[in-house]
Amino acid sequence: MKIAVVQFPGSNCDQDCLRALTDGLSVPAEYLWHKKTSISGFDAVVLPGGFSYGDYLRCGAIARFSPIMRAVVRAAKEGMPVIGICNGFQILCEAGLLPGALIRNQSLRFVCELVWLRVETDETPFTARLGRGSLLRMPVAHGEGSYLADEATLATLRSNGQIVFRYVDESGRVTQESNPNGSMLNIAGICNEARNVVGMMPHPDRAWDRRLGSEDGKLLFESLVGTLESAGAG
Amino acid sequence: MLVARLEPRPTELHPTNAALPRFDRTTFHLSNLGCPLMVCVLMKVHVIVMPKQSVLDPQGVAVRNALKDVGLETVESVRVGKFLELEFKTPPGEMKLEEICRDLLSNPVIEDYRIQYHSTAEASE
Repeated sequence: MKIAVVQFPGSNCDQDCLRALTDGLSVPAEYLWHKKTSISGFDAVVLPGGFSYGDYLRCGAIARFSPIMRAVVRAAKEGMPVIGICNGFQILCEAGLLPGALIRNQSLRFVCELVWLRVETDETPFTARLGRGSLLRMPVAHGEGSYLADEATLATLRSNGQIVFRYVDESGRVTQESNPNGSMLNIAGICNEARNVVGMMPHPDRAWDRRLGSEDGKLLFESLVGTLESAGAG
Repeated sequence: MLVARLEPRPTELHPTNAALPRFDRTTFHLSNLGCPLMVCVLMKVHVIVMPKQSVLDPQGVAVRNALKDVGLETVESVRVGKFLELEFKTPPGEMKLEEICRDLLSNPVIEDYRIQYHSTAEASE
């Protein structure tokens, strides 16, 4: 088993993601430079957070055309688990692998804080080991994380169970106060229809060790590893 | 070097067809100036990207509030978009331009765009 962490110019959570996998879980993981055109030999892909291409034009708009993204799109369509975290989520939306868009936080503030998330579905490779309704604590750190989609898309996300995480308060209630960026329906993360591609604004890669303030992020990576193992990727 | 400016009226194309002014990379003579001049026509394309009306534009709201603070009390709303200027010696086809506007320069989920065609002619002896 080997997991790829894609590095775009301007990625800055690539090391966090790699360490979460290699140090947190002892799973083989390697960086994959965005100029590469193949992801053969890897079983899953992480698009890390950061400011790819300086967020020029729109967050993720230019990274989406990096050579590696062609291979990522192909692999995603063939069912490979892909997770985009923060800027990675923005890139997945720009690439059309996930519906909707992430716009400037309603407060216009860059939010950098620990939030509570409620797991809305266990039917993704990244939440398979998490109970539906369970609460996770992890940080957000973004200026453009307000999830937006039209009514039809939101209805589809709901009816298909594609909403993966929502911002909640510490007792698990969806409230306006617990929404750090103005996301519609308090959406913090979604998946595609095939359920193998997940995008989320909060950072599991910054919450995999008690010294980081939370270990909850580790559960997502453990779910991924469990899914890959049961699929036979030794 | 003599630079002549042709100023055709901008043609707005949004979102679909209108006649594209026929400025290819053309050379021709301006014989009525008394001497032969080689003229190379450059095409400028302006792309204006705006947040969709249905999308809340928090930047625009903040700018509107600031305008009110500096005494422009009558301002009703502000929307902040982008203006891109592209310059071509060989202009792309209309389809190609629409494609890059849709796929790269704007995000159709949250933004609308419009394209304006301009041209300038550079002439040299």
